[in-house]
Amino acid sequence: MKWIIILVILVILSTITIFYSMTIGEIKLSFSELLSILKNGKGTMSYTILTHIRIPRVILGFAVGGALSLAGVILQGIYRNPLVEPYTLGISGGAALGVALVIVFGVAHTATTYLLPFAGFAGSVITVFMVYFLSIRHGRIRIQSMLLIGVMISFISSSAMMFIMSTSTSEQVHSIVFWIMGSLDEPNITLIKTAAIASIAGLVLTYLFVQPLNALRLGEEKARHLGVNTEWSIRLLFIISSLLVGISVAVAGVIGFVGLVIPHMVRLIISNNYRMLLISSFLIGGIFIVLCDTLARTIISPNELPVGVITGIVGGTVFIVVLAKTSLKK
Amino acid sequence: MKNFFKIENFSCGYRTGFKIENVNFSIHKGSFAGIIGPNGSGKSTLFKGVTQELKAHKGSILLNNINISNMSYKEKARNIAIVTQKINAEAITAYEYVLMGRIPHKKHLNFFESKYDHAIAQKYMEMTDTWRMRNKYMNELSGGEQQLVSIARALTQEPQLLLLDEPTSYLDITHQVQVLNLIQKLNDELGLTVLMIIHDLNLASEYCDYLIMMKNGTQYTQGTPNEIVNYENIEAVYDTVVITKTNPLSNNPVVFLVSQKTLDSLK
Repeated sequence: MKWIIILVILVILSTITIFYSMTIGEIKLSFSELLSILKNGKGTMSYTILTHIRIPRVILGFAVGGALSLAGVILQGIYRNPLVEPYTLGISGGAALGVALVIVFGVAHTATTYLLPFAGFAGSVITVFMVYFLSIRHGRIRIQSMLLIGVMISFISSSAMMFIMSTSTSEQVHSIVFWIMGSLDEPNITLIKTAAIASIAGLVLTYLFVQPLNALRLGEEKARHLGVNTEWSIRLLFIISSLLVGISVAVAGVIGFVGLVIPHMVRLIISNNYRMLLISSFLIGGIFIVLCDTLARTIISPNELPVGVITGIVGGTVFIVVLAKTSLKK
Repeated sequence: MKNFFKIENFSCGYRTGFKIENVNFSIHKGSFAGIIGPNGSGKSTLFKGVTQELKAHKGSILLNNINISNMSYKEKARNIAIVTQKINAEAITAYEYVLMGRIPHKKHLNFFESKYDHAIAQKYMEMTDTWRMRNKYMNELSGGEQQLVSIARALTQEPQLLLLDEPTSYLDITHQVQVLNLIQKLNDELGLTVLMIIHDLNLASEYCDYLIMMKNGTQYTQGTPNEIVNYENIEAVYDTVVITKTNPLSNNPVVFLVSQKTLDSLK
């Protein structure tokens, strides 16, 4: 019962955030203006701005925020380590390397809209599967060494990227850095739809693993004692989270911190039972990114800050405050 | 029923190094059996073999004549509940922890507990006298309390066999006796078959009705405490001089240790 109330509150908060964020921009709108434009403003400029710029951006923000935060929850669950986040496993490094390669080898000048996202996605998925296969020994996946291999691969790929950047033109470096910083300014509606569908599918699929995740809180061995096929659960969860992160990185670049901070806060404030943790992290992650992005595009308007800057500063600060408060209570 | 739980020609071990070989024993339904033996004799390896953390190299483990390696993880957890020495359940309340014992009975998408699940959890928490600490976090409980909650969780799995790995090893005598009395009560009242690894020979002899004594990776002997807890066996297996007497109240054998100094003074 308590959980239903929390869920309703979160859904209401998400809705408010989404609408609020749509009213903010170069042209500010009130709520009633927003509603009337959406209802019968077809053909007007404001309508076009809303449907072509703001709404897609809010959807993308919510999808990416939800996906990253969900991936964080999953990875922390299977590694039983609260400090693991999607990028710890070298996913961002791999994605950036993929993009850097494509930019440097000049293919991007003939740029199709799909090429860079695809390179990012390929880079991250290849990295993750390298980590995955290197961690299998004697048919069993070794969780702890997986973490180490992930960190090492992310070092290797970032060094490789530095190498590429040091030998390329400043124009190329600029486009690499720009891509890495992450932005929700994605004009391609197909990519936005893909990200939205993928993140919702990820959420639904993860719900099949609520019990394994809950049992894994006790450790792998004890989870097996409770009848959980840990081997397969971990493998499938790992694949789901990798795809979620891969898609997010491909569409929005590297947006750090969400996958680490949001799940942690939800564990502290709401519950560490996964049936609540998954959906709450998803929604709060979405809210968080949409708000950060609203801030990023207004704070030095008409210019934009990379949203990753805001998520880092805001997320880190809020996190420290929450942690300090809860430890005081105890 | 004879041969309720049966281990036949069983061998298992670590990839490089220690293994147990040719273990054979069987226990009756409703029995309270103990595995004893010195450090390094293979008790824990055997336990891991039974829980299938270690793959069997040879032989089989039968529960009700069904080979447990043919059971799915869930099936196994519905039949055999396992209580380990240490519980690492961080920020989980005792109640939620006990409810997790219902996981093996659930379908994939069924992630809400039914009224029945709650009733079972409450029943066994009351039976183990842990209901009063249901809202406490596991890491706030003492070692003895954690053991009791862990047993309550095992019972909510509604198993046929309860496996315990040295349930008393970190406890003082008050809690050792409390935990073992509880297990004995469950054994008597629920007819639950119990197999536990236990370090302490006197506790083993007082509580168990059947003992398997391990030495160097295989079983040395097996039988009732009166049959096997005697100085000949203990000196052969533990390589230590002991005196055995009979407990005047329970008539079970008791083991006395003797210091070197005392032995020297006898010469």
